[in-house]
Amino acid sequence: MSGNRDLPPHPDDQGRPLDHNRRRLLQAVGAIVSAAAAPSLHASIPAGNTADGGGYDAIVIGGGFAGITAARDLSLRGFRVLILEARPRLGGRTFTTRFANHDLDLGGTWIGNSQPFVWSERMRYGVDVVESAAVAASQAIWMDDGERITGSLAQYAEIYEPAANHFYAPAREFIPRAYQPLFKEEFGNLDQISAADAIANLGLPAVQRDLLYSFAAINGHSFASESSYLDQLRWFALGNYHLWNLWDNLSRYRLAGGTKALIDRMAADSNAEVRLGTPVAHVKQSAAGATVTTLRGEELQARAVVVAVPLNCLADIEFSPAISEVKLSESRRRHTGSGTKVYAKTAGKQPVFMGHGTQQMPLCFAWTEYDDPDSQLLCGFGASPELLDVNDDRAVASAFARYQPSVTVEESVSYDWNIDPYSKGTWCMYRPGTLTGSLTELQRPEGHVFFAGADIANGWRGFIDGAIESGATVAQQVTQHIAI
Amino acid sequence: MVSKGRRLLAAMILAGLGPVAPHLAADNCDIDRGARLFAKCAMCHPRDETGVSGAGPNLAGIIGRTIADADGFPYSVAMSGMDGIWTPERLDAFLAAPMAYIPGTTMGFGGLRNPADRENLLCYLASEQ
Ligand SMILES: Cc1cc2nc3c(=O)[nH]c(=O)nc-3n(C[C@H](O)[C@H](O)[C@H](O)COP(=O)(O)OP(=O)(O)OC[C@H]3O[C@@H](n4cnc5c(N)ncnc54)[C@H](O)[C@@H]3O)c2cc1C
Repeated sequence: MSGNRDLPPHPDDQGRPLDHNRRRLLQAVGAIVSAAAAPSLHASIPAGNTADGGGYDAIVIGGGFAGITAARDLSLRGFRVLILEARPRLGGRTFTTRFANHDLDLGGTWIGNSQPFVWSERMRYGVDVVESAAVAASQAIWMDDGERITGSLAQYAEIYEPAANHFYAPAREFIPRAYQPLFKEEFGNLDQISAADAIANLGLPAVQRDLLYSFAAINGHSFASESSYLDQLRWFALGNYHLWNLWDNLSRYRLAGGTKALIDRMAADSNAEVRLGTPVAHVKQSAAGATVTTLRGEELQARAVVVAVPLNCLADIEFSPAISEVKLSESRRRHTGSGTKVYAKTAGKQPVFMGHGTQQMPLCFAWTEYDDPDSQLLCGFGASPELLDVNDDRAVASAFARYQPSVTVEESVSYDWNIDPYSKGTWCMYRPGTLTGSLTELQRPEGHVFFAGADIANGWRGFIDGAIESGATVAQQVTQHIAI
Repeated sequence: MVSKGRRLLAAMILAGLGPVAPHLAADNCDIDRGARLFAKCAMCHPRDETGVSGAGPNLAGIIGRTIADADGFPYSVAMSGMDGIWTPERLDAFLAAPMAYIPGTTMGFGGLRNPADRENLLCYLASEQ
């Protein structure tokens, strides 16, 4: 992040719309503004202006992966960029903290090598990956009509894999291009029915049906009845129509040092000024640009604004003129992601396991994420906070005991993404109708205002990868817009 | 892990704070349990003599401190608007249901519903860093 370091030499991006000298000048200005990022110096900058009084080329609202990507790309092109982030930290729905001697991610965690945007970022910045302990699980645990079954991963796969392939069968026909979800144009009723409707129609034996309900529940992070079947099918396309490749992208690799390691590198590479703890209340457009008003009443001007807040938070910012009703109503309707994620530190050890429960259990999936010498860190996901009070250690312990009955939980941690006013939910999966009815509109810029975020990405929507895709795409749009 | 001395000190601090809810002053609270519960807070809140804040304000000596006084921390408008100090009673009520007690707080924590958990946590918060 700028503010406490010198500008690094960065490669010359020839062929960009700005001429060389102007870019150099802007970078120098950027350095001065960056130096002013310390709170005590804020007051010396006239409200609404950069240090030289010229206003910003772009203001990015939101410092998650989408906002950081957009701000980095724009600032490296020489534009003057300001990030306004509501929380006292960057990262948004990713949040690396320390727990049990690990860099633990309470939000977005796993990435995969079929995720082109995040994988290329982590390669270019040299951030290593580590594998989840459960990849080498010696035990699989699943539920059959309320009964806990244990076996090998291969035995579990015998039951689960054919059912999942059945569920995903229409994916190749209807999502032939994973990064152009609307390429096919005709989808029958697949976007109108829920994942649960589709599963019920498969006519599978109860054990397989229930495993699918739970699988759809973890993917949509809500009950299977909430998410669109078509949107679920997209994930299979993104996983190259291969179930275990999809799994490898959902839960195999995490970043060494956590997601923070990557976002810190991206932010350090950026020349954008960053203001933390600065929620935006209002965006008002004029002929020449826009005025952004913070919750504390400060007014800032820019030629373009990138709104990189969660879909569920979009309607909390006031826009004048108003943004489209489709954007507002989808924001108020919210995506499906509203479940729980919790980690528990055990005393003593159990077999390293991968557990697949039912969507009505407090945790519909649970597994060993870290296999330490004397204890383990278990990770679990649930379809709804109604099923589990994540802050109650006893409730968490008994939720994990459904998988490992003799487990002793010492401490547990979670983050209440659903009640945090700057996320109002977890990761994005769409409700029926949103993909075919609203995605294109959600992405559409309005005047000088551009929209970015994982929740409106084309490819890995709902993922870190999608956030970076969207941020990079919007940086291109803004470049075209302000170069004119 | 935590000495008897620290436990006593915690009870003394709590007792010294004027009208203290009797259960908070009790010396039978489980400070080790409180320390484990603090892991949830420690996700965001440092609690050390540096006073430096993280994703949440530093909680060193929080009991008896003026509400929203951590240096440079960008508190929510709702939290900044609160008057007075953090008494054990107020912390207890806040921790039970943060968003109900201070509507508009941006602390992403749903609350500790179990009164015994809050008692143990407060006991830990009252102990020396
Ligand atoms: C529990 C959980 C588990 C997940 N697991 C994975 C995973 O394993 N792999 C994966 O790839 N993805 C995962 N995700 C999803 C992934 O974290 C997100 O899709 C991605 O990080 C979103 O990035 P973003 O930049 O679009 O939005 P965000 O990260 O939400 O960033 C938006 C930013 O806008 C800020 N903001 C909001 N309102 C305002 C305002 N008014 N003014 C100023 N700033 C504002 C917010 O504070 C936030 O920093 C998970 C998410 C959660 C919650």
